[in-house]
Amino acid sequence: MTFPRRLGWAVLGGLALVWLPWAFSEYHIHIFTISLYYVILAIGWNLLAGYAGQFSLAHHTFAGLGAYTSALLVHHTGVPILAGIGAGVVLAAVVGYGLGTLCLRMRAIYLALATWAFAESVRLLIQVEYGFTRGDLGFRTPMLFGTPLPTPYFYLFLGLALAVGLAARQIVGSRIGTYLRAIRDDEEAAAVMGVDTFKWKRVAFVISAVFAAIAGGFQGHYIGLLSPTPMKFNEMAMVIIMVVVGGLRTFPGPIIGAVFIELLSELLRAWGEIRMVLFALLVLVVVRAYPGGLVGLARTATARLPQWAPCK
Amino acid sequence: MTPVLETRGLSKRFGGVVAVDGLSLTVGQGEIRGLIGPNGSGKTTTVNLLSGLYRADAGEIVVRGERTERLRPHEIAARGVGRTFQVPKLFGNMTVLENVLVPALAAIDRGTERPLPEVLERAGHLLEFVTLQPLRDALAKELSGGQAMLAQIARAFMVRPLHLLLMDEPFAGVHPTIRAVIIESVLRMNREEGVTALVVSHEMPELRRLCSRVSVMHEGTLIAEGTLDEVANDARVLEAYLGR
Ligand SMILES: Nc1ncnc2c1ncn2[C@@H]1O[C@H](COP(=O)(O)OP(=O)(O)O)[C@@H](O)[C@H]1O
Ligand SMILES: [Mg+2]
Repeated sequence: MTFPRRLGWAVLGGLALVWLPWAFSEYHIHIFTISLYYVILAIGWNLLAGYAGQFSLAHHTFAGLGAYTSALLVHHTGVPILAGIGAGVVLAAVVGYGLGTLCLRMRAIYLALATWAFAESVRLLIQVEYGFTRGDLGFRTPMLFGTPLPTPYFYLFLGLALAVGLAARQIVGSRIGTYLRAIRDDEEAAAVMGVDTFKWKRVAFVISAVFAAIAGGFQGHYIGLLSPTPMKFNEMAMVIIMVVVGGLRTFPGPIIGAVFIELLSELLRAWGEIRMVLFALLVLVVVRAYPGGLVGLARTATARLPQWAPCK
Repeated sequence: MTPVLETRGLSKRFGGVVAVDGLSLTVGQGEIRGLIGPNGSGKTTTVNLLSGLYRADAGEIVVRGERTERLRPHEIAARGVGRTFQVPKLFGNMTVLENVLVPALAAIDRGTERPLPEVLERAGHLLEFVTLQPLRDALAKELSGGQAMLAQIARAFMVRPLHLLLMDEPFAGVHPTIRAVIIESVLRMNREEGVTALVVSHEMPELRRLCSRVSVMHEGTLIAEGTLDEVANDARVLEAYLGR
């Protein structure tokens, strides 16, 4: 596609998204907003697991860390909400740096185990410290826009997702992206060719933690009630499912996957927990038969298109 | 003149196996040295120690007068040590050109990068020289074994400045025409840029064309050193190869 055409499509797509709240009910706009929240989580995890090959299982924890930090700070010290979210992001970066330092020298399986253990510890801590966090009762948070109506939050998350998406794209296209891809393909070869593998893995880890904390921080001040439930492994599994089904290590994969799975999940709400089984099966099928995910499928399809097209 | 590479008492054990046992090896500036020895004598372990992938249990490694046995692999690369692996280790999902550019990109990270046009020109020249120019946009995982070896060699030459090239079995399972290209490229880099090389190999005809001297390892230590003909007649070498 030529640049003006690309731009044309982008403007059209942008207008369509901006117009969505006029065409749909509040309930639907809420679902779209939650989809965008997952888009941000998925983009961050794809950067770390897809591009850099580091399968962290604590991605959802950084979202929770962002949300709880802001909620607790705002509640106990009365700082403005945006300052609370900022503090959550900084804390996630610091914790991400520390956890990365501890875990990123490990082999893949130990990295997964260590990050999972970290995730469970943080969740249990929040559950047990109910005097401070109100545990399973849930912690009320003030609304960012003073209203629970979804439309302003939809626009907010649209902007955030766009910003995070562009940032991720910038990183992947830069030399850092090349370091990360090299590390994923062969870490030893990258190291002996001069790449400081540990440093760049940790950079990716911190960036993905920051993305997650941004998403979590803002989302906390939208849903208005935090609980340790979304810090369970289920939530991490959802992010993995979204990225894998959409297309691991592609730019649009996490975006398409997050929206697709979140919408499907809403559509099948009546099925309850059975949905997870369905999604797990979906992941198996994708991994076995279409490792490129939905994006891979679409690319193969469009590659065949020109043969049918009458002109060109 | 300080040697490019010197090891003293270098040792590495894996559990009960002593893979490298007090190895003392010196390679002079501009030399192409062969490293031979029966299977399991510790050659690959030595290369892994020299490139920083393994941490030595004891002993010293000195590269151009600087101790490197405590450095990490990328720090050793920054001191001008490049290498290839016996089973090629390329970045499979990157193109051949991208593979070759990784050392130049890594140099940006440590602030020793060269101008981009120069980097691209060198990459182009090297790919041309190792006959991979037509495949520059192919994914590395699509290369044959011999082509992958050539790509590894071109990639190692992109480490700048390259002082020491370590090659682990570059001829193993490689077609004769590609062997000739490998020999030619190492000789040329040696001649034109003064690159010193340590070549682990079993292939005597190839070693004869590449090196004037070889070192022989057995059970982790050096048992002989000299021209190929000298070591071929050495009693200890014969014994090592033929068994006790
Ligand atoms: N990563 C490793 N773990 C355990 N043992 C190893 C490892 N690498 C090499 N060895 C052992 O060390 C000895 C020397 O191996 P190696 O350096 O590969 O020899 P060569 O390359 O000369 O054939 C062998 O006995 C081998 O089994
Ligand atoms: Mg070997």
